[in-house]
Parts: sequence; C-alpha cells; structure tokens
Amino acid sequence: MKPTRRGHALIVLVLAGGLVGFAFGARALNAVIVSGGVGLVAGAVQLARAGEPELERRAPEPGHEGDSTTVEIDIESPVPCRVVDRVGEGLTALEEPVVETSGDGQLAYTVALERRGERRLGRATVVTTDSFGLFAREDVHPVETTVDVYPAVFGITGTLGTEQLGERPERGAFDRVREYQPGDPLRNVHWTSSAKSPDGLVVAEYTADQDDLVRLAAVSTGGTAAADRMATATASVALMFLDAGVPVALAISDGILPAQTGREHRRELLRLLTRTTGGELPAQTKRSADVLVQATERSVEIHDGRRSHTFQDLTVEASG
Amino acid sequence: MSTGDRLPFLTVGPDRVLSIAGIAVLLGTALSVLLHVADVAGDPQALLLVILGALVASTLLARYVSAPVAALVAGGLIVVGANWYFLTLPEGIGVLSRVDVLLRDSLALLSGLSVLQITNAGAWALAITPGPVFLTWYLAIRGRYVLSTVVAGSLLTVFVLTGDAETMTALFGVVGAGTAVGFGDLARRDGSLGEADIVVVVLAAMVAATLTVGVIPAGAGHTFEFTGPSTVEASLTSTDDQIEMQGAISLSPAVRFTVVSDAPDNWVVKTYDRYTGDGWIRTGGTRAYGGSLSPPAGRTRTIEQSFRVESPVGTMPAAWRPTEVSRGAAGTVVTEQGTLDPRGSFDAGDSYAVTSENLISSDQALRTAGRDYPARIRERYLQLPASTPRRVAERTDRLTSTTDTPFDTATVIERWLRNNKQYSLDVDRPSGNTADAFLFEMGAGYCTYYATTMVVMLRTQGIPARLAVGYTSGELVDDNRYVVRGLNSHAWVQVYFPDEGWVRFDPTPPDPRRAEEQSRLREPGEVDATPDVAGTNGTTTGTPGTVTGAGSNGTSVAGSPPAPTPTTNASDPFDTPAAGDGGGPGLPSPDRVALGLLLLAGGVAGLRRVGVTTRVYRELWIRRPPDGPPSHQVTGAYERAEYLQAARTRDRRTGETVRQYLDAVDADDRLRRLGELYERARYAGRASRSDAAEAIDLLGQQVGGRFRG
Repeated sequence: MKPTRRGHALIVLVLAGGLVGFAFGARALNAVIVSGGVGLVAGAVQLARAGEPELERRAPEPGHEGDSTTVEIDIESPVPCRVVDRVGEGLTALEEPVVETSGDGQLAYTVALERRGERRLGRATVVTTDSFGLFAREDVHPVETTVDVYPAVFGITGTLGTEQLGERPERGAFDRVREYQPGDPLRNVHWTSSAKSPDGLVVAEYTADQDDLVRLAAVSTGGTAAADRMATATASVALMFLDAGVPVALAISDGILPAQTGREHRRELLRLLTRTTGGELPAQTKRSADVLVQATERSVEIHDGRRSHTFQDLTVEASG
Repeated sequence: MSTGDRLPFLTVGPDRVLSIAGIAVLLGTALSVLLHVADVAGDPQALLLVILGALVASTLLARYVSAPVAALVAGGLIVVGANWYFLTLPEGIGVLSRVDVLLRDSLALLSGLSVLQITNAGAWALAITPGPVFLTWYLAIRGRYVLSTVVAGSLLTVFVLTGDAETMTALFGVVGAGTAVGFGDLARRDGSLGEADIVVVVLAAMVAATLTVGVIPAGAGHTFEFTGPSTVEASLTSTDDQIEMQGAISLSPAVRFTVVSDAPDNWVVKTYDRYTGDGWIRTGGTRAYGGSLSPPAGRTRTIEQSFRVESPVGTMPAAWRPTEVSRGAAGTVVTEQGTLDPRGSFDAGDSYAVTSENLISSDQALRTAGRDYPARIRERYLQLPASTPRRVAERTDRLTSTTDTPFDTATVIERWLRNNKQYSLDVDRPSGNTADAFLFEMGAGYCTYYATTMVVMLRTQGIPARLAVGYTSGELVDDNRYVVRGLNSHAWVQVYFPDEGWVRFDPTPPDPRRAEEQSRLREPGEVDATPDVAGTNGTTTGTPGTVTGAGSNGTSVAGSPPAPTPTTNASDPFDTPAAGDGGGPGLPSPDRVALGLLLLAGGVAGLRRVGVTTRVYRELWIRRPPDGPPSHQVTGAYERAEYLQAARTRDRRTGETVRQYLDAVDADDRLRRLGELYERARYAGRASRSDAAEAIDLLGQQVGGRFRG
C-alpha cells in the first residue's frame, strides 16, 4: 500500500500545515490538519481492511486472423479499483483495456486477432484505492486466459472443389428436408423444395456414406511462415468441404483427426491448425490422402491426386 | 483517458451534482474571505460582479475552450489583475520596492499576516479573484474535480495561513473539497451513489474530529505563541498588527515597565486604522528609526521619559507623540502611524528613553480646527466595513445632532459611552459587527469595546479616528516614577484634527476600570512589586485638551465592585473563546445546522454500511399493517408473514410457488391460510374486505408469535 500522488500531496499539506501551525500559531490550520489526518487514516484503514478484488475472466470467443473478439472480466471489489489487462503477442487491444469501478464492475474491450496461435490474455494489474484515492495497492491478478486465433481462411471455389465433389455426384442418398438454420451451407439448400415450402428455405440432408469423405493431409517445410501458409490453405480447403457437408479427415504432423462433420469437428480441426508448427508426414499417409497440402516458405501447392494447384490460383480464381 | 474529451456536463447525475456542489462550497468559503476583505476595505458589490462575471464566463467557455487555453485565460486574468492592483498603489511606491514588499509579504503570510494588512486590500481582492474563480469553475464544469479542488483549495489555504479564514470556514472548505474529490471519483468511474456511504462517513468523521479534537488544542496551538490573548494586555499589545475582539478576559498584574517621566500620560504601543467589523488591523509598513521624528502641528509640551523593562516584552510604549529615541534606539523601527516598535523584544533590565511632544491645544483651538482633512488621512481613517449596519450611523446622527464641530461630536460620543455602558471584563464576544453589537445589544464591555465603538461612530460622522492601544500611566511610586503592569493595558481613541494632530479621547469610564485594576492588585499572591495604592492618581485618563471630570484618584472607588474574574492565577485565565465560535446561546447558526446534518448523514451512512438501516426498515415495515384496497392488504400481509418465516427458515426460491415453499418449510396452519388468501388475491384477483381483515389478523398473530417465541 502506497500513497498516491493525491495522497502524497495531502500528507505534505498536513505535515506542512502542522509545522507552520506549531511555528506560528494554530489559526484555522486545525481544520486542515485534523480533517486531512482523518482522511489519511480512514483511507489507509479502508484499504488495509479490504481484501483483494475478485476477477473472473469469461472465455473469449475464438476467431480467425483479422477478426476481433470481446474480452470480458467481471470484477468484484469491496473498494474502488482500476483494472488494466494485458494482451499477449499476436493480439492488439482496439480499446484501452482499462476500467475503473467504485466496487463491482466489468472490464470489456475488443482485441484484434492478428496472428494465428493460442494467444495469451493477462495477467491483469489491479490497483485498489480507498474511497478518496489517497492510497493505492497494486496487485497482479494471477488468472490469465487464452484465446484461439484460427488461421485465416479464404474462400475456394476453384476447380479443386468442383472436381473433387463432382466425382461424387451421388453423395449418399437423399434422406429428408428440414428448415434452414443459420450456418447451413447454401450448397445444401434444396431449391426445388424451398420454392414449394411456405416456411422459406429448406435444406436437404443426406444419409451418411462411408466412402463420402475427404482425407486431407498437410505438410510444411521451413519455418513458421511455411506453417502459417500450410494452416491457412488447409483450413480453407477443409472448411470448403465441411461447408459442403463432406466429412473431412485431417492428418498433420501435430496430430490426426478422423473424418467427421459438425460444429465440434470444425472447432477441433481449427484448434489443431491454430497450434500447428508444421512438419512432415510419413510417405504412406501422404499417398493415401485425397488432397495433400504442401507448403514451403514461398508457396503452397495442393494436390488432389491428379493435378497440382497453387493455393493462390485457387483463391485468385475464387475472388475473380 | 478516453473520457477526457467527452463533456461530462451533458450527463448530469447525482454524483456530478454533489461534486460540483462540493466545489461550490469550497470556492464559496474562499470567496467569503475575499468578500469580507472587500467589505472591510473595498467595494463588495464590485467584487460580487467580478465573481459573477468569472462564473458566467467559465460556464460558457467550458463548452468551447480546451484546458490549456483556459489555463492561459486564468493566467492572463491574474497578470492583468496584478498589474491593475499595482496601478492602484500610491505613487510613492516604486516598482522595485513593490516587488520587495510583495516578497516580504509573501513570507509574512506564513506567519499569519492578514490579507487586510495589505495596502489597498479591497483592490487586491478584486485583482486576485477572477483568475482562480474562472479556473476553478471551468475545471468543475469540465468534470476535472480534483484539479478544480486544488485550485480553489490553494486559494483557501492562503487564507488559512493568513489567518483570515476561521476554523469553521476552513472546515467547510475541507468538507467541500472532500465532497468534490470523493464524489468526483464516483462520477469519473460512473459509480452509483450506493458506493458513496464511505465518502459521507469519512467526511462526517472529519467534521467530528475537527470539532472535538480541533477545538481543544486551540490552547495547544497558542502555547507556541508569545501570549495567549486571554488578558486585556495580550489581546491589545501583542506584537501582531491585528487585534481580534475577545470575550471574557482577565487582567495580569505582572510588572512590565518602570517609567521615569516628567508627566503622566498614556503610553502608546500601537495604533490601528482598519476596522474589520470584529477586530482591528494596522496597515502600512515600518521604517528604521533614523533620528528625530516630526512633532504634531499644534501646540505641544515636551515629555522626557525613561523606560526600564521589567519583564520581556515585544513592544516599545511611549507618550504620544514620540519625536526622539535618545537611548536604546538600536533596531527601533517607526510605523507609518508614528508609533515605535523594537523590532524584536526587550529583556528584563533593558531600557530606553524617549522624548515626546504632547499636544496641549486648547479646546477652542480644536473646535476651530475645521474639517479640512488631508487626502491620506481621509483615505485611511474614515474606512468602515460596507456591512456596518445603518443604525450605527443613525444612532450617532441623533446623538450628535446638536453638535457643530468634530471636537464637540467626539466629546458627546465619549461622554455618552461613558454614561450609558457598564464596564465589565466578563462579556460574551458578540457575533457580527462589534460596534453595532456594543451599541445596541450589549450592556457592558471593556476598553476595546468602548474605543472601537467610538471610532466607528466618529467615522460615520466623517471624522477621522483610530484605535490606540498601550498602557495607562501606571502606579505612581515616587516623584516621577510609574510602575506599569499588565493590568494597565488599555485601548482608547485618537481623533485627527487638521493642523493640530491626533488627540486622545477615552470613552471607557475611568473609575470602574481603575477599580477593576485595584481589586486585581489586591488579590493575594498577585503583587510582585510593593503596592502603593495610595498614590495611583497617576492613572489619569484625562485627554489633553478635554476635561474628563473623572476623579483622578482610583483609591476612592477601589474595592467596591466585585472582581468579575474568578481566576486567581494569572497563567490560567479564562478560556479563550473558541475560534469561529461566534454564537452564544440561542438558535444554532446555519453553518452549525449544516455540519450537524452532515454528521447525521455520516451516522446514517455508517449504520447503512453495517446493515442496520435495512434491518430497522424491515422491523418498521413488519409492524406497519398494509393498507390500500383489500387485495393489497392481503398480499402485503402475506409478504410480511413470509419475511418472518424466511428469517426463521429460508427464503422462497425464485420459481418456487407459495404452496411448495410453505410445504418445504413446514409452515403452520395460520401461515398456510394466509398463503391461500394470498394466492387467491394474487392470481385469481379475488379479495374481499373480510379476507383482508382475516389476513391482517393472521399477520398480527405471526408478528406476536415471533416475539413470544
């Protein structure tokens, strides 16, 4: 516990007032000295008695490189406090990560997700003060959290997708239709049924087909830049298939995911690609892959069994 | 902070209102001192206009002008004000000596030089006011409460140091500052007022501590002063250039001087020109004694005096008017008024010799002196606080309606005061204007009251007059030797007559005063010099040129009046009146009421902090039967009964129905019945008068049962 600038000023005022008073007579200095003294004592006691504030971090929503997310910390404090959060490498706070509360409160700010990876938030510095801000105590709150910055994803509407899917026109038997829900790929919308339905868009669902999956393997040679390229390209390709309802199995040097669809699978796949540091795979795995992503520091090549594309070609085409 | 550019006055919450109110109180206390200065020595109306102007300007500019610009504006106002003030100073003062005076005065501030002692204090007040007022209010409006408090607080601190702000004033300032800072922080943090109770509790504690701890050491503070102003002597002849009116007071028998003099006279210590309403200030500087001083213009006789100092003093009394210090002149300074000052203090055994030219003009000469007063006399010795009640002048007008000359006017006033007021050392210090109080409210007083009132009355008639303090001639112990004691200290009046000089008038009735002195002298153990009371005819208070008519022997009346002071020990006299305590018995003053309310609020906030108020509220709520339409009564009765039940067992959870809850806590039949009535009233909307009566009855049983169990 230390006096703040304000506290120092008051201490000096009380001491100087006392000196002048003793030297030249009390006058009305009593009012200043006594009140100031009471203020200082009250402030010190209040702060000394107050326990440390409790901070509770809410897990921030992950997002892709270039997105932003909200960081929230709930604060429970018996005394006024100022909470300053720290954002780790690869993140940039878009607002001052600072809040001052008189007691309970919340710190909420937005961070830009800049670099792929598991990024750190915290530790927050907590400065508690008494009600008049005369004394302050600085603690570093031990709780920190992380936020996943997924690799950037580019839309792929190039030949890779159509050919790959085109080879499997009979992707399982048509099972039933259901109402459209946000998040369903537009590809799955059953337009003919939708036209007849009074409820708007209708989505077709297919029975799962064992053969109907894509085995995706990705390797990189080189440093982080190669790993980044690999992660971005792999994520883009994987999400394209998943959007189309095609289960994707992924093999990278950091781990293997069995073929699946669904939200959970997507998340796991992105988590894996978020953390990957790149590397080689056994030749066997590479050979059995339907699609192989090969990244170097310079470029990314995608083989779909017959042909090689550069990742740039696929995406440039997409944007064109 | 990102909020720096947002203008907080656009959103006004209670915290902001309270912060700004705090600033207003703090600024108001500082301004009250300045207004007092303007009242005594200037134009309070003009100062009010200046304050108003600064407030309006800062309120408007706060919307458009950034903080650095505002600081420049305030700085500009101060520079312009200072220059204007220097222009108003008399021609004789050169720029260098002005700076010199400024520095010297700034240092003197520390030791309590009153702002009122500044030359042209009224102009000074006008000059320094706008800058700080502008900046304070600008910052307050902009939501920079702490900075605003610093600016206004600095101004108040100056007045605390100069002694112009009394304890009560300072206390209000401190409370204002605390409010502004405490609630300002809440406003900045957008906190709710629910967090404010600590601020209120601490503020109340500050007030309570200052009022209790602070008042007792009024003595403690004084122990570091030369003399506590508890004796007439101390209050009158301190080395300060100011006199504050005191309440009850005692006389000290300690011997101060032995004087060998050609003739008895009052020994003048100092004269005071500026009347503050509740005291006196001597303005103007001093210069080193450099040879002989000019005598009065009128006819004079020479008095040679030799003073031997018997106990340490910081004064240098002499018969009026000293023209030469023939011995012990080293270090002596002369005030602008013509009195001597040792500039330091004498020890016992020191001595000095003074030659004085005593004015002995005839009454006739003084009658014909006319009213052609020089400007320097008019400017300085006709001053009265603007707030002096009109009735003082009106009463004096009536008293003196038959007189034609200033001399006759002075004589009439002198006689009237002697004949119509009782002499007493045991008086309560009046609040407000001393002269007005003595004239209209008080029946008795001592020399300071008499003399003050007479000066004020004379000034209302356009007659220049001032307060003189010092000692009466003392006890004649030898042919021409006088023993001067503390109890001989006295205050009287000097009136100016053109082409003559300052003439002494003494409105204090001489006999009761001497009797008081004698009775004090006769108290056992009090006399440290051989008393020779028979020879005290030297203590004449006859003024030259006027016939006092009073008997010049104090022995004839000595002993008859009772000693008014119960104290028997000179070192333990009456308590000094508490600083700032203007009120005697009667209605509490508004400031006391305000502080009382703050203490009350602090108490309540403290109780609330520990949860007492909620409990008290609940207890009252339970005991007050619900009213309104029957359905309200039924629901109210059930809510109270459920509260009692919950206190014994547990609260009803959200989502839990009344029935589930009553089952869960195993409620008794009466409560179940009440629950039924409640559900019907609440959900079916049915409640008859008899239902309501039954519900109230059931509640009554619950409440009663609670206290039985």
